[in-house]
Amino acid sequence: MRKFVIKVLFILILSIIAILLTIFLLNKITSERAKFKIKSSVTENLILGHSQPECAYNDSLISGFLNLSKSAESYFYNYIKLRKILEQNKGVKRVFIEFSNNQIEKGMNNWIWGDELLSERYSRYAPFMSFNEHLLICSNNRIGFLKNQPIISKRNFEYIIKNDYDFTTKIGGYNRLSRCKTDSILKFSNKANKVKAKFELSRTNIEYLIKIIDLCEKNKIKVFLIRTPMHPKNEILNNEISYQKILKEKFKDVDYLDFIDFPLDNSEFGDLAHLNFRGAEKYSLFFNNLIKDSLLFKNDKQKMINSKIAEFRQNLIK
Amino acid sequence: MLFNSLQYLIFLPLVFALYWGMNHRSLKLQNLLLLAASYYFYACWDWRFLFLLVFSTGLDYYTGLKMKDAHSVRMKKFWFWLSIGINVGFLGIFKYYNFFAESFAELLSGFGFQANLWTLQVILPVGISFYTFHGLSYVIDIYKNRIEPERNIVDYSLFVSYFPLLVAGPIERATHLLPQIKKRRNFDYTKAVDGLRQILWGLFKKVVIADNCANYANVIFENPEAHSGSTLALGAVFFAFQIYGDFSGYSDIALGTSRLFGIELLKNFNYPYFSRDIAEFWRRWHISLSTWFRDYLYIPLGGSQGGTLMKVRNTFIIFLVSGFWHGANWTFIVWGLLNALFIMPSIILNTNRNNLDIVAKGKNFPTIKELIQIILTFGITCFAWIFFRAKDLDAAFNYVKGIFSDTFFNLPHFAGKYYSFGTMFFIFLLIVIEWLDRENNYGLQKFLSKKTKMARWFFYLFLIVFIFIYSGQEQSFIYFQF
Repeated sequence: MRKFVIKVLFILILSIIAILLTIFLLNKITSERAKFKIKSSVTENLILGHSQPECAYNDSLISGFLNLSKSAESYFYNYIKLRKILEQNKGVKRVFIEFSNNQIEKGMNNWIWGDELLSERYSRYAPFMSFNEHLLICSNNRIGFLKNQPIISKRNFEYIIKNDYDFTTKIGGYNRLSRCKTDSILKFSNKANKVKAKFELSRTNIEYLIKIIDLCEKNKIKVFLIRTPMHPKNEILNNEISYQKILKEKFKDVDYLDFIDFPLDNSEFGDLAHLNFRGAEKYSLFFNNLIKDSLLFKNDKQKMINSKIAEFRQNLIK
Repeated sequence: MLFNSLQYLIFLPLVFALYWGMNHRSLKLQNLLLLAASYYFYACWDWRFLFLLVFSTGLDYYTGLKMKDAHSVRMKKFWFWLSIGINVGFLGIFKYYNFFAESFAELLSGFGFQANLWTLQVILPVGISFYTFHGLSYVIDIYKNRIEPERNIVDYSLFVSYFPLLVAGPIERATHLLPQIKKRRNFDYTKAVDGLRQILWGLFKKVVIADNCANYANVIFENPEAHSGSTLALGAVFFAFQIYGDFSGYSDIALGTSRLFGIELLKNFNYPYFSRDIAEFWRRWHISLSTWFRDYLYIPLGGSQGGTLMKVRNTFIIFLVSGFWHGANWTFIVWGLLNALFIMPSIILNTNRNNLDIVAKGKNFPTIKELIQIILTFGITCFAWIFFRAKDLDAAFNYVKGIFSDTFFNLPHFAGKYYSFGTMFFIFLLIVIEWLDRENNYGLQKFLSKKTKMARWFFYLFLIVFIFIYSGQEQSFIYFQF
């Protein structure tokens, strides 16, 4: 029996070493071979964020911009993605980061280490993560961390089999939303009892937004926080006071572009949070005109945005 | 709790340590521990069905004793049929009631009648077909005076519920398992190591072969219209390896696990894809079920004693029942029927026992004739698997029609095609290892045994690494649904 136990322990230790080595090697191979090189014509301006910018910025209508937003992607993964992009794309001059009301909420923690999204997000970015970043996942979701190691390794192994290391097609892009469920959602939400949830801050997500800004500054890249239009009846706007407070306290030195009041019909929203393709087209063209009108070089950018929005609204009324 | 889950990785060493830790105390305690562990293992799926398992166990235990103590043949028959009736009744209600109700409603609507029959909204208790067959064999054996009833309720309960075989077999016999349960077990180092090796091989077949093949087979079977004839044929091959890896992998893990506790289970697979004819295939595939049907259905029906016609009739019955055992769907019945048709020529020509030996025994390679026989047998087996896998008969016939279309000679193409090359490599590895080990109990048993220890260990680590890589998909075993 003793001999057997010793042998099993020996196999166990060897297996653990072999597995750790496999994880390390596969991550290393993927990390070294991964291509984040973006076409030079669109490398100057990048848009990052979650599903709201993903559906709002039709980058084919905005010259010199590339939308790299991905739905349900927190600042934590935005940061890892951007770090890799900046390593391989020296031509990036500006980064536009979505700063929306839901991105400060505690629910964002689930987007970082929650079980639901872990296998998709963590396994995608694991090869590019530092030890401390792995540790963050592990300390907040040990089982999820362990369960995802084979998923990560399988993904890396498949990159090798297919010799496919082009990550530019895997890390986000404009999502053409065709649905329009706004009216039905509003009808339902009017009947439903609304319970206002207590606001709690996601410190980790905010911490990684600060890291994104620091990373850009280190690379001499201009950062803009941006808020894309949302339906005025979206309940997430209930945290507006806390949102403005955090914006002023933590990001007062960062340029902030707020498009929340951009006029859109219900038919131009996919739901209360996302623009559909009609809304995206309208907003992207407006945004493109603003950029052409040198918005980014103005001193009071928000003033210009507000006046242009007012002008746009007047034209719509006419 | 799946054999390929993190939960089982903790459960097994824990039970193993407790089991051998109390070895010096008493056999009773060991059996009680195994029974408690088995009930916990089963309750992990759905604790409510534990009551059904306990009831079924209690019923067979009680009727077994009553049959023995019966003063008249009439009373013995009464207890026998009570047990059979309730066991088969449960199986019928949980597994077949909806099928019969729906089929009957369809039949009536064919005659112009509208029938709104009540169907049950219940899930199938996992392993019910397996533990019911355990109980049935026990009761039948007592009735036929082949065995004495077991008086120790713990030992009998363990015979029915022993966790390695509880949910997907092998279907054990009282004559084989009960004596082992009642005998004091001593730890055997060689057997325990062999058990671990068999678990490793079973995990490889399940996680690396079956779960990967499932990805491609699912893509192809779910949308056959979108695929060429050659792709559909490849889909059937993927499914053939999926079901083999899945079920024989499960059996290997079950046998290996049991060996760790000093109990030998019946062999369930014996390299079926190296069979030279369909009769040999059925002697090598799901052996515990085939022999169960042989002993408790085929032979009581007269077996091969009454001439060719009797043999033909009995063979058809046994295959149809076997198909129906797998599930309440016409696809399984047609699958059984097809196998009966495939085996029929050898039954009529009395050549069904031609290939009793191991193919190319003592040689490295088969002869050309043997190779052709193996490929042909595998081909018709794959054809029958299409019916086993398809969701209904229409889908199965469309699938077959798709294979024999003019796109049969196109290059196969399907989602994930490039990733499938890795899977094909592992299928090739499986074939090579099982071929080299076909004279042993399971693949890997003696593989590389003549090489250095270092080479063998390196290969085991290679398997462990790939089991780890593919373990993230953690899919259930196909035979759990039966």
